[in-house]
Amino acid sequence: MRRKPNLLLLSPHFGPLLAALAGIGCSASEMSGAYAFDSGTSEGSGAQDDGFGGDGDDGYVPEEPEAELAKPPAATPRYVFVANTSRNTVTRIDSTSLDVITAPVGVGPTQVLVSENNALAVVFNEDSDDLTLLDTESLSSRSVGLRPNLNTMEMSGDGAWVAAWHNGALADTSTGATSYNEVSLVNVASGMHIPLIVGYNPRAVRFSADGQRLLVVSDEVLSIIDLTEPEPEPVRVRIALDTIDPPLAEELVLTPDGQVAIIRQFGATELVVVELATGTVGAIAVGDNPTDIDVTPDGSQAVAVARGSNELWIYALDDIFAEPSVVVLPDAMPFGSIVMSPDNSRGLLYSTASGVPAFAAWDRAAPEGEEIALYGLLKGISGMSVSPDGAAALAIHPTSQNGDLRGDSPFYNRDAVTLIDMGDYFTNPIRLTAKPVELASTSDGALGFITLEDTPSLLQLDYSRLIHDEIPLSSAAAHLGVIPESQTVYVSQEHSLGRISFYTPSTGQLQTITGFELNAAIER
Amino acid sequence: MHRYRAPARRLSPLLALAALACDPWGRLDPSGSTGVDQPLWDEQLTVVGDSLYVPLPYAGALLNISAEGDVREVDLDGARPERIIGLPAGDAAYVFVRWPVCEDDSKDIVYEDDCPPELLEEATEVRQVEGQRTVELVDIAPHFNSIGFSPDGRNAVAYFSGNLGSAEIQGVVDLTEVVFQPLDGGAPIAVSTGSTPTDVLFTTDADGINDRAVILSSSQVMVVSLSTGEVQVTYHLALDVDSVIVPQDAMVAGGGRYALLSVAGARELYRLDLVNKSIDIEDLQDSPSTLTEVRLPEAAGGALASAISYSNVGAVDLLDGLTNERLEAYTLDHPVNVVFQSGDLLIAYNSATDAYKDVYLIDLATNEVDEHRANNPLSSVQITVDQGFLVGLMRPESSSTGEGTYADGLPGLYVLDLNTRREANLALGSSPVGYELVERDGQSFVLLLLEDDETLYKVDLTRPSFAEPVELPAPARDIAARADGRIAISHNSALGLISIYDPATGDIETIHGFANVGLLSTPTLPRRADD
Repeated sequence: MRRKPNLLLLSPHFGPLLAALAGIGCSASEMSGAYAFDSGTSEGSGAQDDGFGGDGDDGYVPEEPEAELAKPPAATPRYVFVANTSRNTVTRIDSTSLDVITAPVGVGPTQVLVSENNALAVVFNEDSDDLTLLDTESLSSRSVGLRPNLNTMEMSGDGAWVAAWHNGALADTSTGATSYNEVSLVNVASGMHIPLIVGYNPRAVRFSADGQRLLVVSDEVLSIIDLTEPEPEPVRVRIALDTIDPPLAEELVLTPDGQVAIIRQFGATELVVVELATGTVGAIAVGDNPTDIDVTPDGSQAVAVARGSNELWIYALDDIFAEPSVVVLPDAMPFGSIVMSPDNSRGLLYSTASGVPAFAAWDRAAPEGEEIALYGLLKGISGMSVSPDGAAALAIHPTSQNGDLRGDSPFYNRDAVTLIDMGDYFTNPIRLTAKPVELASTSDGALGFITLEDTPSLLQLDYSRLIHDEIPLSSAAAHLGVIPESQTVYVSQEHSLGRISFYTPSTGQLQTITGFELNAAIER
Repeated sequence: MHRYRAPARRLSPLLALAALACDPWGRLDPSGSTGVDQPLWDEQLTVVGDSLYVPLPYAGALLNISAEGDVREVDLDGARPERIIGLPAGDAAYVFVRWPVCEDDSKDIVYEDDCPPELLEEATEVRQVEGQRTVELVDIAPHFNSIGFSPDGRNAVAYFSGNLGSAEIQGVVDLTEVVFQPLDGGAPIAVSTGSTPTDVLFTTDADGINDRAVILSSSQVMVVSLSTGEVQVTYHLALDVDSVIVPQDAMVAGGGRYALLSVAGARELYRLDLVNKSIDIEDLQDSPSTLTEVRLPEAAGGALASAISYSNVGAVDLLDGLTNERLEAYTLDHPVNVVFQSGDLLIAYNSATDAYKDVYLIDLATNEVDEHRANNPLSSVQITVDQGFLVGLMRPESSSTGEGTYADGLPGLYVLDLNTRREANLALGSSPVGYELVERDGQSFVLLLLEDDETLYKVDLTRPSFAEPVELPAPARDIAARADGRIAISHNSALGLISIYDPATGDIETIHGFANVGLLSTPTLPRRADD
């Protein structure tokens, strides 16, 4: 492994522009067992606004990830909560008995999150600019008003706080006088609403793991909110030297102790490092044009992919300023994204921008110079994921990225996925009838499930045997998830009156409830 | 009492009675001049218990013919009967009556013609009669054109079904109201549903008493307590008020736990949980044609189940009454629209189209489907009381080709022995007027009347090819069974002719001439102040 000089810059006067990485708000996903395709936010921001564009030095455009669908259901071990946007209700479905109860909430609910202790379901009502806090058992509720024109919500890991903000990557339905510098912070227990002014057009919002800080990253500013204060207020730290045309902040990573934020900025050669306690801003070298940065599953390291210089830069999160390790990647393959195996022993490198029909397997235990092995695929890649036990991986192939396929190939201009055995990297490509939109896996890593766009079916993937099965649904699938601590899969579907199915892989039984939105109108 | 402004009524000329007097049975000569604008009596039989109620349209009266054959005029206090609905028990009936009322109280006004048309109104009421007397007045509005009774016979239910017909409405009327009238004289329960009712179902408690009514109406279902009148829950079948969901068929399933509804032209089955108060919709393979509750044989568990047949798919699905889980799926050659249970069998056939003539016997214990084919399409089917025979009326086919063409053009009687599965297709010389199934001394018979035929045909179902003729005094118009097992037969006779046939003895008694009530007199305005 070649070592590069440590280009650490520590300066309170703001060093050179650095790339900022917008981390994925993955708390909801983790609770539901859904694994979004590797956060494309890592290689460029699918969640960025119009300012995002232009080439990096490597000649490739930023890599656009598949966007997650809105309104994913939220779940506890017993219940699934579904927001019914057009009916202004939330339906709670007992995943064991399939009993359905619907509760009225605010106007236009688009998002439901469940607290870590499963006691509270928080509903974001986009059109009435408020939150509904639902007791998951009794369904008693209370409402908390928010600032107007917000469209996304994050919850702290302990469920104590909720932050609502305007995500510029989503459709802007703002009305009236609008500020794009606002975040609504809500203390769930007290219902206290704290409006905050942060940097313009927040790119990402993250709570620290200990729940003591809220971070909001914008292109110019990192806002740090100390949640232990009686009246939290943002401390705004400038992270861009260029205040006229600041680089786009793409990813935000926190060290496990919650003391340091690492920001990846597009087209930069350094990462911005902010000590949250003091607001001190520094920089660390990261090769050329870092397009992805991930925290390893054990939380001990951050791995950045420098697509421009074909390198992996590995940092110790307990000492971010220590000299990083650098792994050289093959020059011929411009990889810009990475996904790690759950045991941290391997990583898969790929690119969603270059269209290269291949991936690289990074074996961290291999001798120096032998860590990287290349494997070909049929088509280019729009996302990859690894099963929860690391035994298999899944590559997503869009219709347009045909690699070297001939026109008479059955995969030419077709959506597809490839199941990959992580033991020997043997692959099984599967042609699809439509674009995959969501992926969820059982917690034991045995099975994965995919829904396809506008398609009334659920695709089951057997990770160990690399076999797929198709389960027909009554109508097109909308959202997908796995009941925590179970193998039961739920799939909400398109139906004017609401439809959700529960699938039990062990028995092959599919139970469907239709019309649950009518339950809100039942007069008792 | 309800009052309306009545249209002007013209009195007709008197009958030419000489011709009628020469004919002891008083048959109307279709080519002669009778001069009356209404029949003297209604030949459609209304049997209530052991007695008959015979309306006299011309006279505006109502007769009761007792089990012993006594003919008495029912006291309607001068009103004329419009509708008669027998009550579940005994010989009682609801009679909807109306009478003219003149607003001018002058003693000079005696007859209806004496009253200035602008002052003439009509009043209505509902009377509960038993035999010849009125027991009480019933508070049911005249526009209620759907009258039924709870299965336990404790309540009458009345509502407006949406087809105005001859009903008149004056003033402000809630046409969405459903009224439950206890037959023991208790206070009625009136529920306003907000939309046109289409059907009323009942749930039954552990004591066999109907405790709740499930009112189906356009786009909603209401559950009402029959003890308190409280509306316990209202289910809305659509989210959008512009969407109209009209229940086509409905049943109570799972012993009253659920109400199942099908919707006209849709593949969806609405399952209303009456306990947990929730709705689930299930997509079926096709639009359902029937929903039927069945009881599985003991050999199959003895539980309640729901049988669903389809409009365009040859299938009957059996669903668990509680879980709605599909228990069995029976494949048939053709769609059916009539499904009912007889013992351990599900009987299914199609009465709606000439294209299908099959009768399916589905054994619920073995799940075997036995298919039979009648010679002609079936219009109706009945099962004998001992469940030993299936009897059906066949209608002529609209067009026929190939083998059996002659019989295809005739009405017929279809007999299927449910034990031996032997069948018989009998051709009929003319259209059937009606038939009744009779059992005597362990033998089953069909008593069949044919149009313009003065014969009652007694068909032994064990030997259906041999029909014993029983001579009648005149061509028959209608047939109905009394509660005592005797058969009432009405005949084409101007002055009234009814035969009472005793299947046990073969005896026939006739009652005749009863329709001359009020024939030669003009009725005065009833219920005047000086009466």
